[in-house]
Amino acid sequence: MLIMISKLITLFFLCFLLVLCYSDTIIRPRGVPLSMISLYPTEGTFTCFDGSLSIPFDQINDDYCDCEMDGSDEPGTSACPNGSFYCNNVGHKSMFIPSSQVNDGICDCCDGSDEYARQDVVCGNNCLELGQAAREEEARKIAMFKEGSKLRTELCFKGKQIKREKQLRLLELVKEQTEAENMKNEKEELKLKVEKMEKEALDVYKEFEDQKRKEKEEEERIKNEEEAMKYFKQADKNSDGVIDKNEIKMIDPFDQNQDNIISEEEIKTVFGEEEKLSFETFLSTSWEYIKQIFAARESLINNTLMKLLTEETYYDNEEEEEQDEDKDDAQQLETESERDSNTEDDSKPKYDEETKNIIEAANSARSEYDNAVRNLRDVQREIKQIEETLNKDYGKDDEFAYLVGECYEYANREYIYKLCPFDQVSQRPKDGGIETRLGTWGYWINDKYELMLFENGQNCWNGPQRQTHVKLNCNLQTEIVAASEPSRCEYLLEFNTPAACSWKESRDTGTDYHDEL
Amino acid sequence: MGVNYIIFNHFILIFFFISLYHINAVDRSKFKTCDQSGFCKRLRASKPELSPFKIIRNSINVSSIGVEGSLVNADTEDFYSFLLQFLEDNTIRLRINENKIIRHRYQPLKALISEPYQHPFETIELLDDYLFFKIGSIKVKFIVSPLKLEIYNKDDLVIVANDLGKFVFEHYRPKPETINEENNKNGEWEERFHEHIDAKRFGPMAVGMDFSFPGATNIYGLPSHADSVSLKTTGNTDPYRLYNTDIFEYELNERMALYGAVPVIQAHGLNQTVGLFWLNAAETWVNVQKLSESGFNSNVMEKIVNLVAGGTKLVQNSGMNTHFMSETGILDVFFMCGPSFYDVTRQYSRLTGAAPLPPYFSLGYHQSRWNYNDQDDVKTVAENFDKYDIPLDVIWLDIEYTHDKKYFTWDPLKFNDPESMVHGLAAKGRKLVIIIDPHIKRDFGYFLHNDATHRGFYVKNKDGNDYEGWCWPGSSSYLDFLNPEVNEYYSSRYLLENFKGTSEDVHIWNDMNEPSVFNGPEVTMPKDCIHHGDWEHRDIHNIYGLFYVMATYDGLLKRSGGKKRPFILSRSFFSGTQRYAAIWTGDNMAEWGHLKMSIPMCLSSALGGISFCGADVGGFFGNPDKQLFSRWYQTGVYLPFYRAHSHIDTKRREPWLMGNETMHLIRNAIRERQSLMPLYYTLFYEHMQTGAPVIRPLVMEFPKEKETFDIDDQLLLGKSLLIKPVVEADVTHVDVYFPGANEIWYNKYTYQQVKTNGVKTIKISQNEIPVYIRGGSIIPIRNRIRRSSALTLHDPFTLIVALDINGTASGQLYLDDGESFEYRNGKYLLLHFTFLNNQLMSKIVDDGRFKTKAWIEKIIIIGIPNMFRTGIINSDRGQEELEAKYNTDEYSLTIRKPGVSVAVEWSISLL
Repeated sequence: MLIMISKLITLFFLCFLLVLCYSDTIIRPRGVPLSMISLYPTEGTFTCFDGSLSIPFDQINDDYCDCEMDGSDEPGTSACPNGSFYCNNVGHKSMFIPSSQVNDGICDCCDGSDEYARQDVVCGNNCLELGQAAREEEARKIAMFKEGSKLRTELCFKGKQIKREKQLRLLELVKEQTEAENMKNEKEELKLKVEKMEKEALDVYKEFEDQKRKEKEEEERIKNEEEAMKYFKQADKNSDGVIDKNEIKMIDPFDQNQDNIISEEEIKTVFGEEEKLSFETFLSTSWEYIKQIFAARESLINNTLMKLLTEETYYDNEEEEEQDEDKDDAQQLETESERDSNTEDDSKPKYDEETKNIIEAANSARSEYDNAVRNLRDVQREIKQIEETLNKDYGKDDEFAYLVGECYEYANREYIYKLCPFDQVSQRPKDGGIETRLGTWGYWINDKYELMLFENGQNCWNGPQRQTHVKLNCNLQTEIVAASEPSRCEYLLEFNTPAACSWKESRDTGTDYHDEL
Repeated sequence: MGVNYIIFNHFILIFFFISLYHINAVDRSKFKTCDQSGFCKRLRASKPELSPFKIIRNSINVSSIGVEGSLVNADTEDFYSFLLQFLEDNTIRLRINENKIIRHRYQPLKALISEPYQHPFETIELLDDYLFFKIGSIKVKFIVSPLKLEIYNKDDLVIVANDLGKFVFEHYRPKPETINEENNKNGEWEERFHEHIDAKRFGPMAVGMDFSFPGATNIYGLPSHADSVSLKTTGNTDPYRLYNTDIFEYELNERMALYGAVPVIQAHGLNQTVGLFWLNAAETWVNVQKLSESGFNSNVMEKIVNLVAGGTKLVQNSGMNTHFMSETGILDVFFMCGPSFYDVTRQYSRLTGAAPLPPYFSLGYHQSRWNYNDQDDVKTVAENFDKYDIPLDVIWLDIEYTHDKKYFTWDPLKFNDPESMVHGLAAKGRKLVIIIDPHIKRDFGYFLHNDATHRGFYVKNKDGNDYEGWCWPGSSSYLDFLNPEVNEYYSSRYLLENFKGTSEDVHIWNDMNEPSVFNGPEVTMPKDCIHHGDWEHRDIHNIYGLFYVMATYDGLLKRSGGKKRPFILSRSFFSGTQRYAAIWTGDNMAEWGHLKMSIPMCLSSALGGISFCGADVGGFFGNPDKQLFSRWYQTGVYLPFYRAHSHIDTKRREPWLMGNETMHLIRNAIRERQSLMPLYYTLFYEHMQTGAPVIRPLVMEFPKEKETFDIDDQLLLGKSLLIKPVVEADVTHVDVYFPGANEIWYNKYTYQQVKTNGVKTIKISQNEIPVYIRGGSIIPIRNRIRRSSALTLHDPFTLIVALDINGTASGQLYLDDGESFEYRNGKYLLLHFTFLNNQLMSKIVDDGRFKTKAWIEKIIIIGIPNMFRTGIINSDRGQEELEAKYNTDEYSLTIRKPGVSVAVEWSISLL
């Protein structure tokens, strides 16, 4: 038995030697893979692959480049600038290296075959070790890929489910929208009905109110005339009871375009076709306009200051605007009801019980109507959101949909990076400070779903708008693993996710380890 | 609301305008005009008239030192002494200093390679009216009154010093008790510039003199200016200014001062070339005029001519005058009498030295950026060069590699393992160049600042305290390299045990050495700062940058025990910088105009003795488009220093980042460069031997062809390659001027011949720029492209033999180990090739004691008739027959694989 084994070992060893010898003595030019051996004759002539030239076979690999275009006559030397050299690398991946790396003093092939002519350079053969390590690495990768693929399948399922839920929700919302519209109409009808009753009841008090209003108007008219007279006298420099054009030229608020000259055009806006203005014509034709100019003039400085102050928060404006819209809606509603209640307040004490009840009913109808409107808007907003979400590309199988609404953080030496996939990327200094937007969701760089682009981030000083690429790697965890700024204001995040364990890995894995013999 | 909006818009507009201004042009108000520089205003105003100076006849003493004597200013009765010396190689030196030495005047003698010595005269005649000397073909008349120095070569009057009587020497004088408008009319005692006040404790002390060149039509030299090679006349503009400064976004076609100052000119006319070297390190202005426009009385000139026996007639409309004005120093001027252009560049290099052989790698391709982010970035960039199979010799690190801008330290996070980074590069034969600047961060946690403070190593302000200025690190002080102790200390910082993380594969970039001071007057150091030896900064300003690189050179030399050649890049330079460092054209811009300007700027530097010059490929500021970028790479191949560099605010632009097509164009350019390195190296060897510039304006090779005198959009590499860079977008044709009546120029890529003498329109593609090989030359190249030039050391050579109209050619190849000084011990190979009578011969010049395995791979003979089928080689291997193949389209004969070692002599006969 022992002899058998030792014989076997010997036999194996001999085979191994034979293989080694065979591979060494095989008649093929240096630097050529087995698959191309038939292209190199052992007698007669060799023709460059591009057909440009035929040379005697013994000029193959003679360290002189005859096939200048494709380098095919010198696969085993560095003679041709565009050639390539094949390393066998038994035990590891075989590969081509550029001819420029042959005999340059650097061991590029793990079997050291590229430095055959350099006595001053000793290349070991570490293909077995490297091959072993590479195979282990490959195995690890494959294992991870397999595990990751499983997770990915789940994520696809989850993604589809999320999308389906969103779609279902959308259907629901569409239904809700109809209901809400109906409700709004119903409440509106009711409101109108009650308000009509309210109006009738209040008409009784109208005469009294009219009287009161007239008094108020007269009061305002006198006040206005007094004010007009004040300005008129101020403008009527020579106190002759009329304003002429020269007098108006002294008053710089009329310089509407601020060129320091009150032009004929600008005067015309005050005088119309008249040459002079008496107080009466001044009051009737020009005063309203003049009053505006002066009012605008007075608030000018305040406004400028205001603008400058708000300028500092310029970057945040965009985000605020959206919120502002919402606020506007709410405010509109509020002011409407406020106005209503104001009129109510004025006349409250004078109403009898019945009127009061009618008003109360009207108020409650209005409030119900407002609620219905608000409800409808909420539904519409959610529809819009869901539609936007559904319109984004979450990968071939929606495998990335699970990231929607999630955010991930990563801290390096100086900053904390925050990635909210399909939404935005931002950065904030570790020691506190303002958050900087590095981009909002743009698109996938290509159809391989490996690289995301977030664009239109905040502007750089003296530079472009910031943007961020997010590179996706297959891994079991979902996390950011690296953040960098390869170029000014262009950021790169490395993001691990099982969703990236897709066909790309399957193509790369299990590549040829054919130990060519 | 409307009003608001308008106002707001105005703010944006104003801001926009400021930014635009900032981006497009230098802020001129930061730099002085001649009128704002008191002494320039004073001296420039001196009118052409009879000089009040005369030689005191009985003071003359002729000795082995030279001719000494005294001068007097008849107007002021101030006395001066002069020393006139006749140096080797047709060179004359005149020094004038004041007699009453209240305070010594600074002489920037470090610019000189050694103290030149007096040669014996052949004839001396001391007449009443003039002193007459003759040495070889050079005759000198030193006219007693008014003072004038006339130099004749043979019988041509070639130089007249003080021709227009503009010699001024402001002697030291006691300081008035009060400085007022009367005694400070032109900034004699105090000069204000913006918020800066220059206290002139020694008062006015300027020197100036004019020099006429009767036979000259063109003046060259005075680098560095962003201007044409042939200097413009400055009668109606400010003079050329030499005052080293860190100028932000410099403008083109300007006489404004830039980073470097080389006060040397060449005056050229159809008959001969002469030169003048004004040895002064203070702020200097140079007025350039045609004699005919100088208001000069031509009768006087006639008289001068008649005085000479057999005097020649003046060439009509020729004659140039230059007026040199310096703020301090003595008058120390060297007249280089040519008579050829090459004689003048050699004569200058005998004074200030030539560049020693640079390490071979430094002639390769350099990849730089402000900044590679970290050591991984460096590694990735280098790997990508391999991935795209583009040669790369050096990666550069700008200031961000340091720990908070403290030089001689590494950023502990981004560059925590510099040894591995350097080792990784070196494993592929590559080097690292890192930046080290002369400003020192004022941080008491910084050893260098502590040492410098405690040992008094800093430049002092006028009150005697350490001067503080603002630079990259913030508050900074500046080491005083005039102090030998500082040099000793500083150079030791480079020892490998002191500068951890470096190795002999790390070389140095000295930037900001004008010195740059962000908040200083004219972005540099105040003139009233005090240096070692009680010199004011104004005395030494232009040579500070040279002192700095000398310390660095010393340090790099020391760290290898004197064995390895240092490589240093310096931004500031002065006469003599070529002995220590390469230079570049500073912070240029990604614009076609800057690409175009890189040629005249480097040609001027080369004429000023500094051949090792380049421009930031791609442009430092801004983002080049693909076309500009690839054209810049194609042009950069033909300037001696080949580095791509970019500002931190620009987009990344490694060669592969602008698409495949651009990558291929760039790759071809860089490969072209690597293939030409044997030629470059040989040219640098020749430069070291003869002072001949590596790149040359056409006028140098064709001095009798006046069409060449103003050409600076073309250049010659050595004398054998003619290059016309493409410096405009979307061009399909360019006009190339082909010099020489009996020349053949061969297209470098197609070998097509041009025999025109004059302009010819050449069709071009994006793939290359017009490059022509001159008939008569033999060019050694290496066709095998490697990852770095260090890996080509054993690779074979290809010879391109371009025949002239007589069917002959010659050339040289120099090689050695590329990194040590062993060549000084004879360990080099210098081969001389000749092609004559259908025979190519390689002769070894000198000993040839460098051992190499390199061999001759291929010989291409172009411009040869189709009559040879074979070559018989005779070498140490005996006689062999070589295959030869004729290409009828190219008129070229390729000899296949001579296979002979370059270390033996051989000959090939064509049959």
